[in-house]
Amino acid sequence: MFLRDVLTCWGKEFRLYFQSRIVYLLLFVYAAMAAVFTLYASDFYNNTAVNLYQFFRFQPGIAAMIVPALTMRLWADEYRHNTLEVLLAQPISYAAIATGKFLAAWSIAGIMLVSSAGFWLIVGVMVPLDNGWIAANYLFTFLMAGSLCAVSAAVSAFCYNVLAAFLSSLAVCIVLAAARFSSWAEKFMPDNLLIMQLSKAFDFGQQYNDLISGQARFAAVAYFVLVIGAALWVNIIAVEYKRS
Amino acid sequence: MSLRLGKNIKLVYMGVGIAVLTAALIFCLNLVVGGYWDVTADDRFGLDKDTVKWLEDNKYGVNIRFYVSKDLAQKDVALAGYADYVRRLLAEYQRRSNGQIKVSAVEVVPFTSSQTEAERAGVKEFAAPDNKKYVYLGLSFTDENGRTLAIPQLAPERRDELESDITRLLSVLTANRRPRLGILSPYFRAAEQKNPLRYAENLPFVDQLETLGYDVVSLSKTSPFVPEGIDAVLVFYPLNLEEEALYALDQYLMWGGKVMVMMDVLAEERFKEKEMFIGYNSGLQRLLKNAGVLYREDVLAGDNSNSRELMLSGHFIKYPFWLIVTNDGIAEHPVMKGTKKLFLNHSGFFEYTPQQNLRTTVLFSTGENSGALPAVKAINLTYDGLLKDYLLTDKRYPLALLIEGKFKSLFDRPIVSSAQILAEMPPFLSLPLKEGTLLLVGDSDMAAAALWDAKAGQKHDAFAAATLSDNMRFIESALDYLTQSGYATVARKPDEKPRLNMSDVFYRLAAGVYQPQKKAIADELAEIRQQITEAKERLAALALPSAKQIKNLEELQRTEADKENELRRIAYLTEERYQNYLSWFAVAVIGGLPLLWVLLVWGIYRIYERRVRRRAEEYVK
Repeated sequence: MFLRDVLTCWGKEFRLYFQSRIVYLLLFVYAAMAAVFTLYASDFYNNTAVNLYQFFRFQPGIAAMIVPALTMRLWADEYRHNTLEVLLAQPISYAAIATGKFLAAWSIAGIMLVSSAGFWLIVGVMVPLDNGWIAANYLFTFLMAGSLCAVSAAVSAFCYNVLAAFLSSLAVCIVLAAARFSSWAEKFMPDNLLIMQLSKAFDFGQQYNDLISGQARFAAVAYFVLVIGAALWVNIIAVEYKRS
Repeated sequence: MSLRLGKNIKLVYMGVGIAVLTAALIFCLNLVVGGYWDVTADDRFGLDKDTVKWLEDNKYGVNIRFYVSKDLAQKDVALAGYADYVRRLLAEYQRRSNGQIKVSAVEVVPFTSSQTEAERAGVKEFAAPDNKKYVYLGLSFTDENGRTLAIPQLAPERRDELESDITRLLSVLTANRRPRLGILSPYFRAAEQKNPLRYAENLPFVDQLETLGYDVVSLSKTSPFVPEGIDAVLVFYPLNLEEEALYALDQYLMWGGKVMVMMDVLAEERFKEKEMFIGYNSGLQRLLKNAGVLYREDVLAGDNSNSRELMLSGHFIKYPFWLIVTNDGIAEHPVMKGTKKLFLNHSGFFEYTPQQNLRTTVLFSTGENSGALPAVKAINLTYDGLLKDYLLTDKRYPLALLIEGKFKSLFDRPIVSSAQILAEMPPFLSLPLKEGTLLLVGDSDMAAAALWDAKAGQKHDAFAAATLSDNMRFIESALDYLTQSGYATVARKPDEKPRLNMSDVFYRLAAGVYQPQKKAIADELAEIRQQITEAKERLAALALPSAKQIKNLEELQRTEADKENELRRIAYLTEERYQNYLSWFAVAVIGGLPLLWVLLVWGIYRIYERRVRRRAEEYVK
């Protein structure tokens, strides 16, 4: 029942993305940005890594900029079109609605990620690559993008218009993806073991790097899954709060 | 957004509760869950079973300090990636060591105490491969007694050997004693200079052996005995060995000694030595014959299939005497553990007949498509000479033998009469006391750095050598076997896929377009240069050259200059085409592929939309 509700909600949101046409622009911008960063922000031609590290290392940054644009209208549009009350009055749980919306945004993020598969294919034909490692990295990047989608969706659930939703979730995503807590802790409090451990545990970039390094730590996978779970929960609370 | 806390305090509490709970879970998981999933094709983060076994058996504490330059990523991204890999591998050592190995990282900042500490530990600054900025990236190992060994620089080219190096140093550090290796060679003249710990010739493999845990001493060619406390003797390129040395080796074997001999019919690395040209005489033939072995000191072994390429008389050919020994010719034996590819230059071969009380094992040999050539013909060999004189025999030639058992003595009484020397040396044995071991190798060039170190010729530390072949590994493994060193030897990681950059690929593509043209001009140029040399010789022979002859020479030189210009033009065109390829690739990846993808997604959605509309229309009808 719950799954059917989620799927219904997902289908509706997913179709809406394509009707708004903005998704095509985002797809293009993402693929072009990823290629530019890979080719020009690193020594890709002279130092082609077997795991396409030059491509994956920029993904959190790019995702932090693109994902808010995907999630900004998830809830704000409902307010704008006055459809939130109607939606919440349906015989469907808030959890199913929040999950469906999140999954729709995550699916679009997945389609974006797949857009770079052509690059993988072309490079793979020209130089030998570790394809298993790259496939795993795609999976981990998808997971990372999912966590940003969930956080971004939760933030946007608190906002009433699209621009506010975009800006606030952009700020949150950039802080999450770009702030290197462990580097700060190493710089300012290298002797405080607890702070060091805490900073490492919550460092989004560090956790992502742990995943794509080839030695994917289970704790890092759990980190992203937990972030998704917690953000979804906060999302549901936000909806309940608005409803009340 | 407005929060009405009074009314929704329960929801706010719930939100905060979720955040705290998630944070606690993440923190605990990071502390408790140490497992990982190695997603690499070559299992690069896992440790070899021999390393794991060594770590489990080890009972001594070792502190490993990992010295890394601060902000390494800003100085060299690739090196920073390698440093990250080393860090992860060291963490695995610590995890598997039952608390005996402790790893700590030190960030090295120039002109601070961290730099002094790194230098004191033996870590050295080096130029990063990419941008030549000076960085620190090294390891030090300290045991419970404060004894320290170091890998002064961690070279990324040695990535496949990293685990092997670390495990080796750990086992050397925790070993009770270092095996003592005596080297007997015309290139080790130190003993006569009364300084037994120094050797005269610069042989990098000896440096490597010392780093890998051997105490190397030089043995005198004129001494009739091997001094006490020597665990094995390495006879390197024996040349006209004296009777005393023969006697010393004979008696050493009778007492159960271990001897490795690296002979050479045509020592390429010793070309400057005149002895090579007038025929080789090791002086060991009697000793070998006694063990049922014949080393042909005037014939070379060749292999048509497994050999390296060489330009001979203008023909680019597989030169049969630059041998590559691969798995096909390598026996399964502890000595050959981890050896997959050996390079030998102008090697001799062995013939043997089994002897009573002796076990003979062929360690490695040529492939099936092999032949032989008299050594004298190999000097100044031409392509036609090779075709004429090289005999294909379709048999495998043994290139290294291991003989173990009770050897017979060559001598029936001591050859020494001096009472003083007799008192110093062990008593004469005509019958063996213990089983001895004799390991024979048909080529000494294989120990030359040029055949095992891709960076040979550059001044670098032993741990920065880049593996070209397993020659050094074979020597190390053979000596470990002979001395029973007990050192851990770990097979290096499987060969990584050949490193190829996009840049290389595009350049090759661009160069390929002009290759036929370039080759034709290069051939013409070689011919013209030959003609110029001949013309110059003719002119030099004449007392008064004619004007026509001089004009002819000038004409040839003009043509040579034109051809050189054409070659430069081709180089320029190649570079231009290469740059074009890079631009096209960038345009395709940045613009073309995203556009194609967008069109594809749009097309799929349009098809889906049309189907839905058609269904809706049918429903309305």
